Amino acid sequence: MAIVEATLFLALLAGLLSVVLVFASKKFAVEENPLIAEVEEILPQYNCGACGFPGCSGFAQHVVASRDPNAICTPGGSDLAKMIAGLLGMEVAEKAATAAHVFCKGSNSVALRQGRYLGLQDCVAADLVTSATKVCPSGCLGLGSCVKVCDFDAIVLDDGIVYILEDKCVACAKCVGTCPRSLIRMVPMGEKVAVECSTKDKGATVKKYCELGCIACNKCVKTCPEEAISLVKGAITIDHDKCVLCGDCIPVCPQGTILGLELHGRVLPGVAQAENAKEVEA
Amino acid sequence: MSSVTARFKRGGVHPYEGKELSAASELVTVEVPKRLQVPVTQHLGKPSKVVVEKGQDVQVGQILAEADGPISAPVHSPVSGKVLKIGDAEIVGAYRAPVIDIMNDGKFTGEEAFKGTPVVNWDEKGDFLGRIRSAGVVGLGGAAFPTAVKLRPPPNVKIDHLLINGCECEPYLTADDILMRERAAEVVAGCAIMAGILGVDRVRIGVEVNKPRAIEALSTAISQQVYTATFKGAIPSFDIVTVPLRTMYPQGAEKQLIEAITGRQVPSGQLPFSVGCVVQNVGTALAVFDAVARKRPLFERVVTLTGGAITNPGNYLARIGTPVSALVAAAGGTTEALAAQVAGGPMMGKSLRNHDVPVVKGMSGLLFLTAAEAAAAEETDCIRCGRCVNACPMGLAPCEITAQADFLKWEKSISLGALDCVECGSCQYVCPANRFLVARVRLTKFYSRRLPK
Repeated sequence: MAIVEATLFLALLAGLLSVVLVFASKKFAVEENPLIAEVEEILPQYNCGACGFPGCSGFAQHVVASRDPNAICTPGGSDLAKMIAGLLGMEVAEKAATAAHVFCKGSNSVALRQGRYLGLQDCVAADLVTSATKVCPSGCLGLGSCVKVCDFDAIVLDDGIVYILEDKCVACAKCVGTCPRSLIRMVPMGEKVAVECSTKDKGATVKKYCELGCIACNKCVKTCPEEAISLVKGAITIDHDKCVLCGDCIPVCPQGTILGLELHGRVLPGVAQAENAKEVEA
Repeated sequence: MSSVTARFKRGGVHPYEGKELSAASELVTVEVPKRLQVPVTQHLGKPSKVVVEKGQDVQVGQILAEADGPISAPVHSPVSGKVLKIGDAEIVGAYRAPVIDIMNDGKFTGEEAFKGTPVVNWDEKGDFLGRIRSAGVVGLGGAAFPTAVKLRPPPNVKIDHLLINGCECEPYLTADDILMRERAAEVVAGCAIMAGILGVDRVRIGVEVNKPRAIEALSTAISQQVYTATFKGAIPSFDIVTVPLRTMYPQGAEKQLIEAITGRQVPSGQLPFSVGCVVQNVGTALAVFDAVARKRPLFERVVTLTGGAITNPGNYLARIGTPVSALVAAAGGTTEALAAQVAGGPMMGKSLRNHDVPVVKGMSGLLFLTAAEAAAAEETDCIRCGRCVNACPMGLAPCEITAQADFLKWEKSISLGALDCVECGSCQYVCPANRFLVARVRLTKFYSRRLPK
């Protein structure tokens, strides 16, 4: 008999509470712009924070509320930006896809080292006590702080230096702020011509400690037909807006600093690619 | 013994002292090399401004770089000769820092001016602080904070104690010990000068009991009034006392020394001024005496070269800018057993990357350690034993602070008191898991400067 009573009582309670819940859900319903859910649906759901908002839903709320054409989900790229713009009926700012790039190729086999570092395996910690084992004052510390912050396994540490896998990089730029020596910068996606060195030392000094170090000889500056390469404050810099990927600078570099890409089994720009680019233009 | 001698209240460790290696030998003057590299900035504060040019002839004691702003200090030429170049070079603590390269002509022109009989004329008391500032005196204990700034407390602060740090609590180092033993009278006179500037009469020189000869030398200099030999004019009265302290690291840390001698605690985030104290190192006291009595700028200092991997451990008097290699040569070179080299003490020193770096004002010692001395064990996980909490002289919980740092929770780490950490390394010394606790606190401090305000 007791079981029947209990069942009836619970059924009654369930019925009453469901009425309350239905009432509450109607009465206290929060009107949310359906667009937010729609935008959130098409976002990559990486929650990487590259947009500056707390996760993808935060970005969706912001972009729907503000219709800000400059709010861009970098991992989604311009395709996603167009889709969002379509949903919201607005114009988007065109922004080229970028990827992080490490401007140092001083692996343990090419860069001179001294001493041992036995402390906390963290680049910032080692740099705070000036305990880098590479002689170069601006070389990759090789302790992998950037590897730890990357949510996408896009950074690999090998032979005392880090490489960024462009196909995995979503351009969230978390690694950029982690490097104590600011060796990681964002470059246009597919850009294969880069001066793979960040030293500010004079050429003679660089030659003493790195086989691939830039000696600022200016040969590439003189060679570049587009005047895209310049010497700024002792460091060679390539203006990616002007660079046409002709590859002329690569063979003239006496240190192989610009050629450094080839040595690590990566796609080399070179002549073939430059011709492709010219064909596309034509 | 330990029951009668004072110490700071909380935490602390007592590592192997290792002082006997270098304490016994006499002070050796290092031959001045042909070429010196004088770093432009050798103090905490605003960088100095170079006032010489390439190719210019300089004399001993001539200003190479002048103080730029109130918290800054000038740098003087340690030799006479020619400025070869002004460029960048590696120094301890920086991969690249501006340095002035000087070719020594071996004549030491201008040094005669600082070799006269020292006189402290108390009628010129108003001039003392200016002499200390223009002599480029900075804290010689290691932090290299400009001394003149510490001797001019804010007007609304009442100072009643001048504490002199002769603890030299870092293991291995004996540079302060040898100064107290060999130049006790001048050290005490320097203390008196600083007390005179501050207008206090109570001077307490704290020395750990593992330096009995230093305590004796200081006590003799005080009780027999030897230190007043160079004094002239209206000498104020002083109450100078040597306080023997229990051997306990970090006794010589500013806040710990104040607690050990006066029993006062400096509140979190405040300076010793807030409890009416000024703390100076014994080496600084000597530099102050030289600056005031001889008008001699700070261009040389005593550096302890010690450890199991150096042939002749001892104390070496070297000019600022002398490359470490010259000191190593003077000490007979390193042995093959060399496994680690450190600039500073073993607890707080920085790794010495190579022997080309120059001696700077804040360099107290150079350690050349064997593998056994520098034994570095592999880091393992925290076992939450709490030994670091017992060892922390600041009353912090290093295990908790660093656990937050491991998860990049900088705000949480700061709220647990990471910014109060003095980085003495006591916690790391006792850690059975060999955790890199200090490195993690340094990370927190580094990221705290980047957090949005």
